[in-house]
Amino acid sequence: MSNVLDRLLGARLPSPPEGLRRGPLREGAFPSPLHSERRAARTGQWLGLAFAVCFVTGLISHLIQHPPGWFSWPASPAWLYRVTQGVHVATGLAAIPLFLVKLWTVYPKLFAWPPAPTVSRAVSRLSILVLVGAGAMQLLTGLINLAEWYPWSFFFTTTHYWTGWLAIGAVAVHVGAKAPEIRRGLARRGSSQQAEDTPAVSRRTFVLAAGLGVGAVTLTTVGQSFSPLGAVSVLSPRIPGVGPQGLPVRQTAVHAKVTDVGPDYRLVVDGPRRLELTLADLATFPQRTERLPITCVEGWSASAAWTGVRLGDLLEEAGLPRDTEVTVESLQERGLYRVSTVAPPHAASPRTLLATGLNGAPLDPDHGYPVRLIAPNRPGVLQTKWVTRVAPA
Amino acid sequence: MTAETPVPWWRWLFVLPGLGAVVYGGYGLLTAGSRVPLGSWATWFVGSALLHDLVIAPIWIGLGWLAARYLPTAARPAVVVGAAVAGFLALIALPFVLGVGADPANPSFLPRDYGRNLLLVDAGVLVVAAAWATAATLRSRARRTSAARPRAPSSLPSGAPTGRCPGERPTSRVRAPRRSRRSARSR
Repeated sequence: MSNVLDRLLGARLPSPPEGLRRGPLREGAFPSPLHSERRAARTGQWLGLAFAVCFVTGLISHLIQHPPGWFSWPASPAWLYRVTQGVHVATGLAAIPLFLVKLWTVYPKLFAWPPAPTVSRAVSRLSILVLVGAGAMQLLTGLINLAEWYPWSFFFTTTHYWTGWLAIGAVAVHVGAKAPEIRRGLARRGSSQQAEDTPAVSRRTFVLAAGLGVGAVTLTTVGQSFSPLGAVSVLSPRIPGVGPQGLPVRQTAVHAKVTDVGPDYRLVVDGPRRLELTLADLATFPQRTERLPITCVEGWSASAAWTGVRLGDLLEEAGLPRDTEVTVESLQERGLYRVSTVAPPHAASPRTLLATGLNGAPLDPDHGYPVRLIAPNRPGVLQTKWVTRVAPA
Repeated sequence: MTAETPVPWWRWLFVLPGLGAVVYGGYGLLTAGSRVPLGSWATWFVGSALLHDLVIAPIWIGLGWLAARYLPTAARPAVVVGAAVAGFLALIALPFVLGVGADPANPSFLPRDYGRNLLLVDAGVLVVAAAWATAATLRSRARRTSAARPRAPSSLPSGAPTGRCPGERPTSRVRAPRRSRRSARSR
């Protein structure tokens, strides 16, 4: 059986005519000694680390938004999701230069001659297409998604999630398949090290270009999640303090078509004692102010002072236990995030508010006037705006 | 290079879970239905790889070829670093510069003038790189001319001042022997 397989994989494939071997296919077309096993392995370990970080943080964000039965996400610390999602996007951006540098080290292999001497080489090259395709697609579509530009017909989050499994799997298979090369490449003294020190563009230059590239990309964008660098990050798509009431907005009231909230507005809390509250009724409950971050799945985040009624107080008033899992519904009629589920840890948290005020003023329509949910340690898409109904899940 | 290296024992710790993840991801994509139209997905999957292989990499290799042809050797490290950093920043900023997703109703999204900012940052990077390249070229020329000078000072007793004033450009004097050692090793 394995003999048959060996024979099949080892079968020689016909070589294209030698006359086609031109341009980059020529021998020695890529003279730099930095196209080496050693550079590939060393860049690859950083890129692999970046992909692992992106995968884990992305998985966390996915699980929070689509929690399976075994998964529970805490309400504290309030900044945790801000960190994991900020790291997800910052690492993804930093991975773009690393990815390009890594592919540069192995680019000559794309023009190996003959293209596929055996069946096993052909299979291995196809597997590289899966690796490069998945990696490049994740980084490129991830970047374009940050610009809220959707030049594709797939649904970004679903595609990014499943392609993420493909990408991390392909990376792991690649690490296993290249294990001997990686071991050689990471060895303290490589045979290629001397050669790498001599050309005009040396190993040092290579490392400097990659390192400064990663640093520059990070410095110019990370301020959207790490507010002390907000002024330095001149290429970030968000600035933490910029927006209505000093806070950025993802979905506007105009976009959600919630612009005409009138005096007939009611907040309904379903329960054994159903509540139907006007804004004036809501103001009679004890008012709390909490400083909590809003964190977008797109990576940016900003802290603000929210004022409103504790969700737990309302649940208790409606005759429900404070840690009841509830759904929170928006006035907006369409949209994927019209309804969100508040799990027990967040429902019970004393910091979870149905907020009516932000930074000392009534909510701006873009921040969810008249009432929005704000809970610690949750993605922004689950911080439902324009809330009209709270019901046990 | 082709010396046999034993296959590390940890190979299968990566290959098997990796294959599992690939199968799981593939299954998820195939069963996502209308959320992931496979034609669009495949276009971006293959297209992203081709964007690198057929556009980004050839541009970079072409620039490298030009640099190798027209730039003095000493200037190349600075130019490579400067061009790489400026290029990475341009790539990252491009979707924001294009601003296709911008929404006039939401001024908090894409609040900056990204075209101007990218231009300023990249210009700064390239100016620094050009200054570094010029300095490196001048230094290497000075070194070459001083090396080509007749060796009159070598007849002086060791430790005596050379042709240069004492204290003048000590760095190049310290560096010179290291360079020669390195080039000797390379031969």
